[in-house]
Amino acid sequence: MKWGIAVMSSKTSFINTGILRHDLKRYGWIGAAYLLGLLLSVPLQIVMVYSRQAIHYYPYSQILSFQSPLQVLFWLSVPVLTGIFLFRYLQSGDSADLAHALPVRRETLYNTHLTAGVLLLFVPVIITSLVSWVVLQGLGIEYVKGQEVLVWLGIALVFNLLLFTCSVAVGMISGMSTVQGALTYIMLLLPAGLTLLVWQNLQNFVFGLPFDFLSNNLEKLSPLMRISYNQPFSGAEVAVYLLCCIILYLLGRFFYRRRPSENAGNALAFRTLHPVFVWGFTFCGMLLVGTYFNQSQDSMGWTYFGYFLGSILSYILSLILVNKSLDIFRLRVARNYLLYSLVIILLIAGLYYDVTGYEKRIPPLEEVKSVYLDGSFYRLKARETVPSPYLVEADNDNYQREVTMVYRNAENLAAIHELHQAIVANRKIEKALLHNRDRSTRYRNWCLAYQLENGQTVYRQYWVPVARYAAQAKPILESQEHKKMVYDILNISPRQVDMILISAREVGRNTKITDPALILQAVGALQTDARSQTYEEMTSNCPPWSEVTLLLNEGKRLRLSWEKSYVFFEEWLRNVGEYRNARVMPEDIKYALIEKVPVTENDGKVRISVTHRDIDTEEYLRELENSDNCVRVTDPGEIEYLLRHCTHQDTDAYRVHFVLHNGSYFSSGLNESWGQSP
Amino acid sequence: MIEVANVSKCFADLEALKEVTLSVKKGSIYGLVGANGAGKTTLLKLLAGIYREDSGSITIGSSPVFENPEVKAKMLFIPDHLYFFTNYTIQDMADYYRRIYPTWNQERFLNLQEVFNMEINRRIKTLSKGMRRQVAFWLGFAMMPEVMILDEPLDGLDPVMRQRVKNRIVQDVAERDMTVIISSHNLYELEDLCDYIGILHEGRMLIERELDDLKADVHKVQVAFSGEVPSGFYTDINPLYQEKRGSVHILILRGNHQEIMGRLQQYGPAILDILPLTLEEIFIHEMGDSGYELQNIIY
Repeated sequence: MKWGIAVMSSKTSFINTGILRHDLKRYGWIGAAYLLGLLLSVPLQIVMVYSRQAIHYYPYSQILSFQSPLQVLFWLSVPVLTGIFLFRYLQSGDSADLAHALPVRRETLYNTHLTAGVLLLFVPVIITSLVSWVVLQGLGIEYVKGQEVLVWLGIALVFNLLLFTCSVAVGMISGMSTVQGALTYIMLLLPAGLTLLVWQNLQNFVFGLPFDFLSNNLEKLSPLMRISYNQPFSGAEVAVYLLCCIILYLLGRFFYRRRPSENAGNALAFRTLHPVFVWGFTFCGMLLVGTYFNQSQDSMGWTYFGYFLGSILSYILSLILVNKSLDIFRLRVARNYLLYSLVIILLIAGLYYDVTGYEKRIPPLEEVKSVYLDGSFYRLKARETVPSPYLVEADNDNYQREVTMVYRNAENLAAIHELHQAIVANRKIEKALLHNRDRSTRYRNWCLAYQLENGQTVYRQYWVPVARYAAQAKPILESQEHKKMVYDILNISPRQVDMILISAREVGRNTKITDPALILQAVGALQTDARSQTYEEMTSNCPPWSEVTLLLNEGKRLRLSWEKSYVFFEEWLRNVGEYRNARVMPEDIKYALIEKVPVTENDGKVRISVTHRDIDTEEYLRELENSDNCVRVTDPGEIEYLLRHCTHQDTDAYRVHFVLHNGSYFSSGLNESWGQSP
Repeated sequence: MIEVANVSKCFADLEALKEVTLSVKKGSIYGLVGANGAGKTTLLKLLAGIYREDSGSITIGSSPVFENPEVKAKMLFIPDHLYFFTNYTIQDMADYYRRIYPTWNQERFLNLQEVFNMEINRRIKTLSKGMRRQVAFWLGFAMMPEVMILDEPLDGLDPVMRQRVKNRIVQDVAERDMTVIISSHNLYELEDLCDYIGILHEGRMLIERELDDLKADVHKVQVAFSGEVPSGFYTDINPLYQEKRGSVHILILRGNHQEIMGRLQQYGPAILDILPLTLEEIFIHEMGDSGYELQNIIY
C-alpha cells in the first residue's frame, strides 16, 4: 500500500459508529439503571396508586408531574452524570491521548459521545412512557389521558437534554470531572441565583429599586428551580429551553475543537478562562456572604464585613483551584485583590451617592399615561399568573375578579405623582432608616409602575412608614377609582345576589337575608359605605363586626367584612331589626379583662382565639384576673366601647380579653388612648 | 515522509520544544534520543496529532497531522503511559480498534497470538506492565500502520521479548516499507535498530545523523608499533581521540575505511585492528565540537 494513493474515502462523518458502539457497550449500564429507576418511579407507582383504589385524578397526576422526589432525583442527577462519564476520558491525560490519537476528528468524537448520551437518556424515558401508557390502558385508569403521558414524555426529554448538554458544555471547559459536576449545577442555578443576589444587594444601596418586581419569576431563569415549580410549561418556555440546548451544543463543540489535550487534569482546560473564573467566583462569593450577613443581622456594617469575607475567601479558594496549589500568595495576588476592592468600593459609592440619578428620576406627569400603584407587584400582571390547577378547583366557587391596580384618572395620576415626589424628597432620611427601622412604626410597601406615553414603563418600590405619607395617600385611597378597584361590592349589582349571610363568628350567630327587596337595600347600604370610607377608616386596624357572604346567582360566593366604619349598613340592620343578631353584643359578654402588655417585646403575651379553647388559656385568664396587672370591665357601655375600639395589632400597649357567657373567649389589641376616654 | 519544520510548543510557562526541525524518510527507523524532560514525548504527541503545535508545521506524507483522520488512520502511536479501558479484554480492545482503523488486519491479529502468547480473553488490567506493552504492540502490528510512533516502547520488556518486537518492527519496515520513529533515553537500545538518530536536548534538536554514514565515517582502531611511534604519526593521522594502553594505541579516526587502513599501513604497525564503535562513542566525538558533554545529555 502506498501512502496517499490507496486511501479511505475522505468522509467527515457526523459520528463514528465504532466509537458509538463502544460508548453504548461501556456505559450501557447507565441507561439500564436509569430505565430501572424510571420504571420503579412511574409505572410501578401507577400500579401502586391503583391498588390503593384511588378514586380521583390527583394521585395519578402527581406521578406524572415531576413532583415525586425519586423522579426529581433522577432528572437532576442522571443527565449530568451521563455527561461526566461520557467525557471523562478528556479529564485524564492517558485516556485523552488515546482518544485523540485515533483517526477521528474532535468534532466527530464530540458528536458521537453526545449521540451516545442522548440514546442512553432518551431510550429509557421513551420506554418508561410507553410502559406507563400501557399500564394506564391495561388497568383502565381513565383519570389520566394519553395526552398527559405525552406531555410528561416531552418535558422529560427536554429537561434531560438540557441538563445533559449543559454538563457536556461545562465538561469541555473544565479539566476535572469533579469540577465539571460542580460547575454544571452552578451554571444551572447561576442565571437565577446571580440575578437574585445582584438585586438583593442593589436593594441596599439604591432607594426605590423595584426588588419585588425584579425578583419575580426568577425561577424561570434556572431549569433546576423551574422543574420544582408545579406549573405547566408553556410552548415558549419549551422553545427557549430547546434553543438553550442548541446553544450549549454549539458552545461545547466550539470549546472541544480548541481544547488543548494537555490540560487534562487542570481545573479549567483554558488558561484564558482563569481570570473569568477567579473574578466571577470572587464576585459571587462576595454577594452571597454579604447577603447572608445582611439578612441575618440586618445591618450594613455586617454586610460590608460579609463582602470582605466572602470576596477574600472566594478569591483565595478560586486561585487555589485554578493553580492546583496552596502556594498562591504573591505580591501580585494581593495587589489584584486591592484593585478589585477599589473597584467595588467605587461601585458601592457610586450606587450610594446615586451618580446615575436613578433615585431622583420621576417621570414628568405630562408623559404619564397610567400608573400602577399597590402594596405589591402581584396585581400588575394578574392575568399572567397561572394558578395551579388544584387551587382553581378548590377555590372556584369564590367570586373572582381580575384586578390590575392601574390608575388613569388625571387627579389620581397627579396625586400619585405627588406621593412619589414626597417619598423621593425624603430619600436621604428613608435611606438612612433602611437598616435602622423602628419596630413600633407601621411601614408599608408602595409599588409603582408608570406607563409612559412613549411606551416605556418605569418601576419603583418604596418601603416607608405609613404615617409619614398619609396626607399624600389620602386622596388616592379615597378616590372612587381606587374604591372601584378594591371593593368587590362596587362591581356587582344587587340583582346578581340571591342571598346574604351575616355571621358573627365570636358568638356563632348567623343571619340570612333572602327577600330581594331587602337584598337591594343591603347591597345599596354596603355600596354607600364602601364609597364613603375615609382613608383613616380604610387603614384602621379594627377587626370587623362580622363576615358577610353574598351568594351570587352564578353559584359564586362573594365574601366581605362588615367593618365597624360601615355605618349605613349598621343603620340598615337596625331598621330591619337584624342588628342584634348580626354582631357580638355587650350582652353576650360576661366581662372583659384589660391587660397591660409589658414593653419588652413578646414576653407575657398570649394569643387567644375563640376557636382554641385550651386549658392554658383558661388558666392564664384566671391568673390574670387575680393579678394587679389587669382591669375587669362588666359595664355594657364600657364593653361596647371596647368592642368598637379594639384592634388587630399585636404591638399595642394593652390587650383586651372578652369572656362570653357561652364560655368562649376572644381577644384583641387596644391602643394607649383608651384610658383617656370614658 | 515525516517532516517537522520549526515546531515550537509551550505548556503554560514551560517552553517544551523550541523550533525543532526533523525529517524521517519513508521506510526508515528514526531514533529520538534525549534525557528525561528533553521534549521527546511532546514531539511524539505532536506527531501523533494529540497536541497542536504553537508554531511551525508537522506533516506526514505532506499532509498536516492535527485533526486529519486520513493521515492518522495509517499511523500508530504507542505512548509511554499505556491506557486501556477498564475491564476490557484483549479481544475487546481489538474489537474497538478494528471498528475504528480501516487497515485493521484480523488475520494478522490472530496469527500474532503465537508471537505474544497470551490468552485473548484476558482482562488487560490483570496483566503485568511488560505484558501490557506487548498487548500494545500486538494491537499495533494488527493495525498495519504505515507510520509507527513509539514513545519509550521497549521499557519493561524482557530481553527476549525486546528482541522479538525489534525483529517484528524491522520486518515490517523491510516488508511493507513502514516508517518508524522511536524514542529512548538510552542510545544502546536503538543502536541495532535505527537508521537515523536525533538527539533532543532541552527542547532543541542538537544533532541529527544517519547511522550508516556515521559508522562508515568514524572508526576505532588499535595500533601497536614494534618500536617507537614513527615521528609525525599523530600529526599526519590527526585522530579525533587517542588513548594509550601499554604499547597499544587506541585511535578514533574520521574517514573512509579503506583510506584509513591504507594510511596506517604506511607506518608499518605491528598490530592493526578495526574495533567496533558504540553509538555512544560516535556521538561523544561527534558532539565534541558543540560544547555539550554527551553524559550530561543522555544520562
